[in-house]
Amino acid sequence: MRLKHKLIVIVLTVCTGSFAVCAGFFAVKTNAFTVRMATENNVRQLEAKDYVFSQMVTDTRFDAMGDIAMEAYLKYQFRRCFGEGYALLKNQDCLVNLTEFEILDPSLYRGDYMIQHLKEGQTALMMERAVSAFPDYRVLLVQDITAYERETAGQMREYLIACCGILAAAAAVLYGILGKVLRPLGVLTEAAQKLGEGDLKVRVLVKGKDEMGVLAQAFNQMAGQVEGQVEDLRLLLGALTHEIKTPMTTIIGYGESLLCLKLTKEQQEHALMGICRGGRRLERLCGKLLAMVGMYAMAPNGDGRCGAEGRSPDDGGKSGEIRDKRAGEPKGNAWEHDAGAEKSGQINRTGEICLEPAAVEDMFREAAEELSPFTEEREIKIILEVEGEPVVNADRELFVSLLYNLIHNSVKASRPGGRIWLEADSEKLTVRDEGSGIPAEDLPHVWEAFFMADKSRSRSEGGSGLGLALADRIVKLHGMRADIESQVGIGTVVRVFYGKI
Amino acid sequence: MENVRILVIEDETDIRDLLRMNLEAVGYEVDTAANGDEAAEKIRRRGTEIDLALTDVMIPGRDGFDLFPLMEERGIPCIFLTAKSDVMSKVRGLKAGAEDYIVKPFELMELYARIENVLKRRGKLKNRIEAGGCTVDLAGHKVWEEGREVALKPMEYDLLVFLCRNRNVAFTRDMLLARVWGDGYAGETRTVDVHVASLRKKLKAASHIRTIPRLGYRWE
Repeated sequence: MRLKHKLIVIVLTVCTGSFAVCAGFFAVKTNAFTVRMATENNVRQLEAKDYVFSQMVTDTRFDAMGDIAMEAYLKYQFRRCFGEGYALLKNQDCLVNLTEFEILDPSLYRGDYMIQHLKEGQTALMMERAVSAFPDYRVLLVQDITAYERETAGQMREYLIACCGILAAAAAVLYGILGKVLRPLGVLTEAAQKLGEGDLKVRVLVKGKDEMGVLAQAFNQMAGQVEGQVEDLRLLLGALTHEIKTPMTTIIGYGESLLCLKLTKEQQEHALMGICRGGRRLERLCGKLLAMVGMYAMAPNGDGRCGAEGRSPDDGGKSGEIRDKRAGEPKGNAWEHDAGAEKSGQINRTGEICLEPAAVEDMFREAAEELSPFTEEREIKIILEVEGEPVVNADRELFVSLLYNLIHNSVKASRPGGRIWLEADSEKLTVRDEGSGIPAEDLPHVWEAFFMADKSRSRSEGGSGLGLALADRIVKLHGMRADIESQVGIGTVVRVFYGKI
Repeated sequence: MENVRILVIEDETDIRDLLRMNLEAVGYEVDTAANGDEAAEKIRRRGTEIDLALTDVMIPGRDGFDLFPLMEERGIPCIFLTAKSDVMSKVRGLKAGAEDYIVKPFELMELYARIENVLKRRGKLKNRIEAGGCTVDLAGHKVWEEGREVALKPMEYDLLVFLCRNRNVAFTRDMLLARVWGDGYAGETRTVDVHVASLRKKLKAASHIRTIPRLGYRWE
């Protein structure tokens, strides 16, 4: 059953119910009113007629009359004074009956008045009072009030017919109005179906500020989010494919050369090294991506305290795999320098990030220490300037890898003999270099995965284009905020603000 | 006529070296450029010496597409390399004046075939091949060795020319059937063996055709 029909049925049922209650109430009231008017009227008539009757009979001397004569006289006077609709009773006998009805048992009469429904469908109103001059005699009034009853019933019928008409009209109006009110629902359903079928561009027109409007707005927001994320993913996948193709071309190409070409010993070695380098690059890309995927699966942990009891035994899952893989990686081979070019925040714990107070200065030192092979090789000077003893709530390992990535970027941008400043105070930390800088048009994109301002140079430095994307993710996981400022030829400044966004 | 000289424009060191190695192996002379600006400089300075350019379109500095007009001015045919297999970038390259394109990752045979096709179309192939002491006159369809003409059957001649042109490259018998006899030929792989054997009998230089175990033949 459709919502519209349901609503109409509900509304009509409620209306019919209330109309019926009203009708019943009015019927009872009207009836009571009619009876009251009739009795009041009858009481007055009875009094008046009784007065006249009593006057007539008190003037007469009954002493001379026998009982029979007196009764006959009374009957005579009664007929004259009261007329139709009245009956004269003495004890339980009916002496004169001028009513249209047969009086069977006067003793059943009780109260001020009585209403009796007869078998013929007639209704009779009865009233009785004693004759004031002769308390032994009683006068019974019987009035046929069938007509009144019929009229009330007729009125009720008309009322009910009117009600039915009103209900029908209401149903029609309701049908129209509900159709209009519920139309946005249909539009939304259609849009949701389209979205489900993959049409991510679909939006609904927002009208009004009622619940429908709010729902439509929420729908549009959702669709926008979905579209944005799918687009992001598409771009990421596109970039990834591109990234994978280069090492793949190298590997396949050198492999084929080895297979089909007549090569010198030297050339063969060169080809093999090319294949190894390509493989390494793919491996590095893979590790980075896994780290990214792992970090996307992580939820920022607000109250984060590291506690062994907080970890269930089975949540080692994905991140555990990453650790195992990295642990199994042979260390210290010829390409170690290349492979470690960017540090991919290794997630070797549970899927959660756990925050502990950590001294910024210590972490700066740790990251700089890890980078010392690069800085020494190029004689880059690292200047550490920490104001006070800033401590941040951070996942130590992730945070060090964030700093590592930031400093490493600066190292790559710096000329040999250049300087890099690592500064920190109570609200932010800064990594500043006097390197080549980033063109203004590229600045908004630097946090995107696979974006490289200077593609060929970054590549020769062993960058994968994921360093800043990872850094950005780590910053966000900590609920912090980072910004970057850069000028070509002057240098780059990256700041991380500890405060919550 | 000098050897064919190919300018390789590619920013990825590994791929650049790979291309250089592969092209030099079959006897092309190779010049390289790592970015658009270097390539433009080389084209301007030594444009007349370059017979063909192999250009990656995604290179730093000047975009690969931007180089096409420069090459066209000097009559250098260009094959572009692209990692994107979408139609738009192919169409863009072809419209910008490129002769052909190759999608990464490419196969060696495809690379050679496309280069050869473009050179043939532009008439830049030498009409005389000297290999292992014999001379092939491509215009006259004649083969000379030690001062006398050697009579070869048409398919023997085609096979010889193909192997000479792709010297140092090993081909399987199936590949040779497809490339020399044509895709429509429904022969057996033994046909190749028979032709190689008769070439070796007729031509001393054909001893350069080496049998590579489990693979096929190669002119060394």
